[in-house]
Amino acid sequence: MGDFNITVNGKTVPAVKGQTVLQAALAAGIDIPVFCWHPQLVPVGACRICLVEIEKFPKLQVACATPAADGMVVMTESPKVVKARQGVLEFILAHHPLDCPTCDKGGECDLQDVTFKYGLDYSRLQEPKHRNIVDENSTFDDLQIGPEIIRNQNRCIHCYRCTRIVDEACFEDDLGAYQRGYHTEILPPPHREIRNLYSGNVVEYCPVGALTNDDWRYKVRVWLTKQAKSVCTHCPDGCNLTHWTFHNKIFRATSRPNENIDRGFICDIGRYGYQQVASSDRLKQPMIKKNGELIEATWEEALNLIKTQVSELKSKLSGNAFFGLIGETSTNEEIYSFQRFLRRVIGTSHIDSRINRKRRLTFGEEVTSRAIAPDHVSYQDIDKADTFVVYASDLHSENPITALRIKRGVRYRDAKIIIINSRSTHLGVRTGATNLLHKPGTGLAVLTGIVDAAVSSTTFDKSAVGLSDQQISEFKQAHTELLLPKAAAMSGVGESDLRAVADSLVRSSNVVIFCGADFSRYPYRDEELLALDNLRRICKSAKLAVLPESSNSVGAELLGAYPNQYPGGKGSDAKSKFEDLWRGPLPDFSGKDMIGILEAINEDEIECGFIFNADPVRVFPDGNYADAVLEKLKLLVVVDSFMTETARLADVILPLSTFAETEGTRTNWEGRIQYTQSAIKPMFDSKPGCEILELLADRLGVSFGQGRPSEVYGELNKSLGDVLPVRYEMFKSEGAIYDRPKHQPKPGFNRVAYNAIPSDREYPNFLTVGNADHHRGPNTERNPSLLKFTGDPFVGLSEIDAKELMISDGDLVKVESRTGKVVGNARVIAELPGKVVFLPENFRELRPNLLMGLKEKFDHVKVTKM
Amino acid sequence: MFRVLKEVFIAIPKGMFVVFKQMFHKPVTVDYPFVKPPMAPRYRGLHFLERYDDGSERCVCCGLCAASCPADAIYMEPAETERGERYAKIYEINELRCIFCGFCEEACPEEAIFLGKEYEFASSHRDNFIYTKDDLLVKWPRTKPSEVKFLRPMRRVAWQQSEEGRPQH
Repeated sequence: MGDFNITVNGKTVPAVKGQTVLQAALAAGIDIPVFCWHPQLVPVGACRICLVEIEKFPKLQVACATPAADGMVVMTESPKVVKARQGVLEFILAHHPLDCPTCDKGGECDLQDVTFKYGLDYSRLQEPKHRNIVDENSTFDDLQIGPEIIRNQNRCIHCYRCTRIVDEACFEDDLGAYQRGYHTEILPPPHREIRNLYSGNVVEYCPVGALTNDDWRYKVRVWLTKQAKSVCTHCPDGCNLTHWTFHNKIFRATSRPNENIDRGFICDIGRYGYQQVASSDRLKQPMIKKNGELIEATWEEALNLIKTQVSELKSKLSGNAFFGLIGETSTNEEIYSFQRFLRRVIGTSHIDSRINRKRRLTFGEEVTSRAIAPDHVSYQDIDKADTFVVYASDLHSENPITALRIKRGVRYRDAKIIIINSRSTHLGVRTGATNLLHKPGTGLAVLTGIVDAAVSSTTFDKSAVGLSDQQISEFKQAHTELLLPKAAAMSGVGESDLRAVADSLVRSSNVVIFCGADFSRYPYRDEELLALDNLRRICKSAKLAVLPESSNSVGAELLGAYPNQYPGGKGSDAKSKFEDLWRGPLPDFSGKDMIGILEAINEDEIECGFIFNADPVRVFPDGNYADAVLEKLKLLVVVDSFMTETARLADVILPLSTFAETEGTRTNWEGRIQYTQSAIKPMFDSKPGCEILELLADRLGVSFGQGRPSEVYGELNKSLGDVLPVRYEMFKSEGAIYDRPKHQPKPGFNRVAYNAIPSDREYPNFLTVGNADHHRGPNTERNPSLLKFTGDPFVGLSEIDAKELMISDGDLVKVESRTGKVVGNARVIAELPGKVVFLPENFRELRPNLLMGLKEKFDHVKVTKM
Repeated sequence: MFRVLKEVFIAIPKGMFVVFKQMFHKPVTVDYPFVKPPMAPRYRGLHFLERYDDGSERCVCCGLCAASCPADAIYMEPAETERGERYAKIYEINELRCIFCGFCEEACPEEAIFLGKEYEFASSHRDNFIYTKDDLLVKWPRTKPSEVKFLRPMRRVAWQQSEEGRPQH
């Protein structure tokens, strides 16, 4: 209960110290109308509609900005209040055009609702309404102020929610209020557009139709739509979405505030990412390859073909001649069904989901033996931390909502942020972070340099972090090549910067270390994890989070989509348990991982494969190799929603429903399992994943009778009751974090081995791969709205390199490596350091994986002007 | 027995007298379809969509007629003109479902839809009863004067007038 009580409309309401009258009343279920107030923003009291009468106050007060005090007596609907609200509304409506019939907000407009409740049905204004003329020819004075945002200044009620959301919740600077009084205009700064990654939020939270969305413009009236609860699948943040559907078509996605995750603000990738569901390259029905061409077929034909071919191959070869790859955006139920299908029905353990990594990702022996593992970080830990270290990650584009939480900490709790990366990122630019911009491939030197700076400092308190003199001297002996002066010289980061960072880390009481996609792709991943663990040892309290790449990577790990792991992270000793559960023999415990599978296909050991919702040809870091190898297969069955590069090689394609048509659960990076409703019925002739896998299993002679996600989850819960002690229905509210095993790391520093990267005279530039603005991963280019922000595919070059090669923006350039080449238009990026070439991984025309060689540790490329 | 006699000798002549009396009255029926009966001033017949004085459509496809329709007879899809105006790309009324209650006319905020006096739209096929926008919009240029007296001028006209300083509400 609260700290004290106040009385609202005669009802006793508990209130917490620091709460406003409005918050206390809303928490007790008493409704007070608001326009300018939002729980995540600082109250300003701009709109005055929340006026309430408080005893002993001579005048009416705004509930949103009046702190609650013990014994307050508040009346929210007294005649005086109602009269005041009518007055406020009369002023707001004096210049509000009554164009509700054409306004996209009509039906969900706060002003409509409040006017309906309190407003007068006539106007006393005799003078003409003020009009902000944009163009003499236009009827409605709409102005496009961003790729997706349209402003109608006439409808604006000057609550400043939009500008405050951009500033206080999204920490961007591309929207502001100009002029004064009723001439006030909401505009981006001169010569700019509103195009930040969170720009859609201003539309969602505009209380009137002043800011509307190009995507939702004049499509469907809001009262006709149905809403479906969904979870975003574009990144592992797991933001909650609402899909608005009409006649089996999705028309928009909005946020569904979840206090544990997104708090009501989502990024544009999630907001417009639903468009790919109706993309033109959706697979509409099953396809069969005949004479080298894919021909449309029926489900019956496709399944029969798979049945005959698989049984034929199985009679000749053992189960080891099969493999399966699954994409990490699939639901937990699909992943579980898939690995069960392969292990029990096909009889193979060659299963993997980590298809976009060059190096084997079973953490090295040293890492395992020292029991180093990522901690169980959650969003709540971010709210508590006072220092963030972001290592090898462009957090802003990879995990936008996590980045938002961090920025919130920086703004409101004065938290520090330290970014260690070889390229400058948006997060570093916008937060005033300490940027340690190092030469590519020298992250280890930076990390070890910081640790050395900390332990060498005279003020370092060893006992506070439980280190002994011996451990420190051992550390110094082991890393003579990576100690401070050398580390600074090697990485190109100033020695004083390293010392300053070490100092602030030692002083912080609560550190969270993030490492992201660049880290996962990195050749020295194991060594880096050891080095990051060293960094953790010098802090009083530090947690390490390795952010996964896809929306359900954590689920893939949890549910056994790995070659040497049963569901629930169970080892070989659980084999008999799963044999009992699935009523049949299982193959050998250990199988081949992604790289091993490709090698085995190359050596003709594997001849048949199932690829589910994954596109290895597009994302495996040697595209040419993956393409050539998969072509050799006797039978390749691809289950996917889109006509991908891999699907073109398939012998049989089965159309899969997308995330919007599939019910299921997904696990975000915290380990929170959340439930997704299917928004629409499966489009075309596609089927949801669990149903397809059940059909396949049934055809091949083993029926599980679990074609629906809830049934699969039922078994999952039975077999993994110790890990997932939750019933399916319970996820439907706000999700739950599953229990993860705790690790006990061994004391002392880790030894980090480091080999310097040989420079390459012929191919002098380093290739870095990342996300273009408003894109994430390979699927976002199917969303037309997101393409509006980025434009065409590009090759990012640093200013120094561009000058040297006489290349300017838009020039056609050729990027070559030892394994391949791509051609694209150059874009000069000021933030890139020299000798670094940036390629976005989001475009089919410009696939960076064509430049990557499986055998090469680092991707060296050469750029020439064409 | 007495009852039967009473019917034969009293009731039948009484009835026949009424019939003979009517022979000298003017008939109530008219010679339809050659003669058409007069309609009540508020008669609700086939819908039509009105236009502004410059020929542009009044309907902005707000969906209120469809929302108010108790028979769910109206379907529409909006789109945008080059001037940024909202209009109905598709507007269909299923006249078989329609119960001619006039709620759509009542709900219309733009004074676009009206129920006219037309009642002759029989057809031998159900599909012919789905009236599209082409069927519903009044012909332009008008072949006969509008049946409606409008209260609100066109929005564009309203803007212009307000700039000249005349009050607009």
